[in-house]
Amino acid sequence: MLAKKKLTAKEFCGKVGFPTSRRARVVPKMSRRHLTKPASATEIRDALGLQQKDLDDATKRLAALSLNG
Amino acid sequence: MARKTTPDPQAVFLNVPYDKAYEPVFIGLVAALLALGRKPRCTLELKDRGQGRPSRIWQLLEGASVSLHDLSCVKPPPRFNMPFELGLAFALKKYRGRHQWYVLEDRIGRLDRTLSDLKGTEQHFHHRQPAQAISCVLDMLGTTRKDPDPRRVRKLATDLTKVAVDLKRSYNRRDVFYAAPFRKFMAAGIQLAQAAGVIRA
Repeated sequence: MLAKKKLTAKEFCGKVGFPTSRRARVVPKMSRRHLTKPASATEIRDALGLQQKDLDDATKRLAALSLNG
Repeated sequence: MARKTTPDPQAVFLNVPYDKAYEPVFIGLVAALLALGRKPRCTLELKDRGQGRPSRIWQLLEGASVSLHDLSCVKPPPRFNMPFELGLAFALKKYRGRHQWYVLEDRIGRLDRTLSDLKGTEQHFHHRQPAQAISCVLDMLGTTRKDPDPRRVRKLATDLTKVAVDLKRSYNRRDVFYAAPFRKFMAAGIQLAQAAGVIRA
């Protein structure tokens, strides 16, 4: 059996479809640093420590104000 | 020695005046943060467990990756809370490095006189308008993709204003800057943002 040839970084990038130029590789990585994944409604509620009674109140209040979408 | 808290990348600490006149701007800020899927945090949610207010503020600030500091409240008597908390954020950034802070103002050029140490720092002006406050948040924390439509965020702020009016009537308060109405306000805001389709369940 033939030994597997070790790919260079450039060959690997070409094989898996990554951009090969340094600029193309570096720029998206830098801009990714500024992207924060948006939190879900549940995550926000948990972070703020909201309780079930607050959520129930909000549901009732929004319904009374006809704001429940 | 106090334990270090890992900052939540989605948490945003709001250092703003709790003032009736400021409420529309606050609603705009909260609407924009919710629409971006950020977690608006402020001292109103803190319960005093005997460790003192500055420690609780530090804890909140440390747990947030971003803080917004509004230095527009300069009417007499002056309020020193906002500059104090900005100082804490500055120290956090300087010594921990994992914190971003932004300055909000009402009038162009005023900060150069009121806090000249920050001369040259980028400021974001809301002119006491909720729509401008929304634009400020989208400028500061928005990304080039998947940002909510500003019109939808403004609609969310309008609906939140109606909720705030109702809450103030229920609690017989002049503004929503009290622990109990604030919790209900935030719960309603999250539900509205979810119903508007700007955040996922």
